[in-house]
Amino acid sequence: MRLTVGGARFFSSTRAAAGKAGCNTVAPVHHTVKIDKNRLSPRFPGLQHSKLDIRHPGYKPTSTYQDRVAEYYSNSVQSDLLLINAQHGESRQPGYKRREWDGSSPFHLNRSLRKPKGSDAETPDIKPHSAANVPKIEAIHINCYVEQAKDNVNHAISALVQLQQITGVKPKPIYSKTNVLHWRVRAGYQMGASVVLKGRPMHQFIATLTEVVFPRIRMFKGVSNKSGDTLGDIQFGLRPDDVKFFPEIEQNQDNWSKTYGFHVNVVTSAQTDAEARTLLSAYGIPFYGSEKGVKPENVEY
Amino acid sequence: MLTFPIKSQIATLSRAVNGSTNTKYLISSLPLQFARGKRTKRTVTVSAGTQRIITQLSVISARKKVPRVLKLSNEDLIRHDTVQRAWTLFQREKRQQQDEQLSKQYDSIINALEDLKAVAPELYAVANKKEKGKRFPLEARIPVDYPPNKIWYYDVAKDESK
Amino acid sequence: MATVAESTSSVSAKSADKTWAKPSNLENEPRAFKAPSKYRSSLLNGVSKEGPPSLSSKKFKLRYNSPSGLQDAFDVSYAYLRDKSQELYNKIESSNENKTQLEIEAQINNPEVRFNFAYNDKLENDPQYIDYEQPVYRELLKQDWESKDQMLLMQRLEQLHAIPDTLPTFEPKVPVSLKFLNHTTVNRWIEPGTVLSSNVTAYPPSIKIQELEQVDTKTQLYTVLIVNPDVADIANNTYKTQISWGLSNVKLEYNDNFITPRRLLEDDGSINELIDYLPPVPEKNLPTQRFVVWVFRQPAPINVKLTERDFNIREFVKVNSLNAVGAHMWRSTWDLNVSKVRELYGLPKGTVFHKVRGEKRMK
Repeated sequence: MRLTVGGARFFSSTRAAAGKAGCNTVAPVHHTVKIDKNRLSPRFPGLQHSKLDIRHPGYKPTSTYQDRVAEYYSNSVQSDLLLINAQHGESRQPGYKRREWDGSSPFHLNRSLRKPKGSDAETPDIKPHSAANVPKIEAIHINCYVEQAKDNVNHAISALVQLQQITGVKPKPIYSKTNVLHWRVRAGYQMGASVVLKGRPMHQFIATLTEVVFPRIRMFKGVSNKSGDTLGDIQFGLRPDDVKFFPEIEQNQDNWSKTYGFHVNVVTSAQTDAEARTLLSAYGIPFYGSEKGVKPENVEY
Repeated sequence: MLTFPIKSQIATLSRAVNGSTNTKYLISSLPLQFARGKRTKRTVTVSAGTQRIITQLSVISARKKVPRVLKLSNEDLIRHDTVQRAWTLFQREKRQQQDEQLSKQYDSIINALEDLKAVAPELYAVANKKEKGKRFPLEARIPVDYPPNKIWYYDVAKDESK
Repeated sequence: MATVAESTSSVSAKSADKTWAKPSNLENEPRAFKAPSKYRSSLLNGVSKEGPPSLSSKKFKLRYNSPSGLQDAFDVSYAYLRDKSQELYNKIESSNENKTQLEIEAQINNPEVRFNFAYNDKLENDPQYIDYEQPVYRELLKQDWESKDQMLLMQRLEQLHAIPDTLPTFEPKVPVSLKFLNHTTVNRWIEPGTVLSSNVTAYPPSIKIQELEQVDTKTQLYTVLIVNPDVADIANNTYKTQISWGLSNVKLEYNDNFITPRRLLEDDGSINELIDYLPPVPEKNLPTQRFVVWVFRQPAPINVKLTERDFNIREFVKVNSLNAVGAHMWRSTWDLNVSKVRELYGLPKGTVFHKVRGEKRMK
């Protein structure tokens, strides 16, 4: 006689005699109620409140000051951008997609799809412009890779503190991923810091950058018109000397004998780089050089 | 910090307590520093650079980030919650109004272009041309509470010497 | 920047006249929409020099400091929310659509309502402070229940396999709470899934069923079934389901919904006891038995009586087209009190099984 069949329970066999493995199995869920174990645990009573509740340890008063950058965007930039981008009779432009094989060989049957034509990776469709998809700055990623940190990890720590000073947001350390022999870098070294800015800290950073830092950089031309990842994100870099112009560093020069340059990636919801550049120019970020697809006589500076 | 001679004196002191030498002399001559938990090893002196790193590490430590939770009375908790709810509701309404305004603007842009297409196709072609490389003027500024008296120097002349 | 202050500048919310919005045709405002007079002033007009009345110790009262600026922000917020609420009441008067939802929205931001709900007993509610006749309090209870107790119940039902062993699945809509009133030492609400002594469960439980949705309390009937899916069925070498207790045609009020033994005794015969209570009397060395309490909304009165304990709950539910809305469960295992409970109910002596059953013994 078999002791167990599927999930049926037999009176004549206890678990021990049935020789069942004492391992955990995840039973199927029969209901639609999502269970948040944090709420059920008695360990941290503060976590049982919502994050908007002042009793939650993670409660953060955010709207403590006027956000003039956000207001500038919603009061004047947004409607202008809508007008600039609006087009009559637009249709959805499909992006690069992976292609089917033509079926000339029987081996095509289970082969993964062909690469897109003209690109290594798929790109998203470009949707018609509307009031719902006016470009806006979504986040700013700052990445600070310090080459000297391979010899002395103190540089990576200083870079992290520097980013925290400038942005007011806690950065994450970054680590080298692989061994690169001729750079003398090995996997796992702490090599710098990175931070993602959103909301108010992001607006604060943009304002400081365009009003305090950029005007004081010597021979500053602007951000290159060639910068961009084709998906509406614009990148530029700041040199160690430029970083000294951030007021948080400048006011405390004794402690910042050495500063570290970093890369800035401005993530926008624009669908193309050209639209992203138009958006960034509204914040006072100048651009230089020739832009792809724009005739020189049409360039406005 | 215990230097060698003091160490030997303490050894003598313990012997003295046991009664082998002259107790009186030793106790009066020695500053007694035999406190429990007193650091006996040489304190580590660090270089200025290392000290800076130690300070920096303490700046980014998690302990410094979490402020203590405010203890409010029941009434004040409800009052705080009311303020929070009013603010959220107000923000939501503001956002809805802006979205509505924006979609109205979009509709009227499209309507105007449609009319133009019917009336003057050549003008429509010009008006509906995609504007690539469009820039906001560099004079555009994020408004501030206290703007300067002269906002922009329009008469700035290019330095001919360069 | 448009601020809350600007948008409500037309309405002055000075400390003196803080009354929440109400419909124009309302004669008597429900008592539960006002905070107790002891707290009302400090809630609406700020904590006075004597300190907040909610603190009991005089020392802490004197030492307490309200956050600065909270009063101004509160005044503006109160006026803003009250205006929104008045708009909703005007909307209710102009059209009859979605009335309950609008009534909830009109009161849910009222600080007095929220104060009453937050600092009074939600389960054994005093209708003076928490009145479940008012949809806003039912909504607040629903939010509170969903934030913890509902998840706990579903976790226990799932982990202990009450679903699908008794019913295939379940969408909880009604909080059910359980208490064994007769037993003095365990006079507390039972957490779902607790293992209870057979002494505690010797007499039927008292069940509180709090309806949350808008129903006609005069006509809506409920069925309560307590089933035990762990009864040994030796003849078929398996386990079977027995019914421990069953009630049907139970009427519930929003505020008076605790089914106690006394209420059943005093009942005028409207409640139908499907079968009388059989207390848990587990046999020795058999696995822990589960007792699952199911609460159903019933579409029509059920007046049958059950004669047999063996029970097919799925068929019963299907035949009577019952709608499962609430559940609860506890567990029982053999203990020294079982023989006393057996004596009390005149049941035969229990069997002692071998610890390890099956062909192969454990080595």
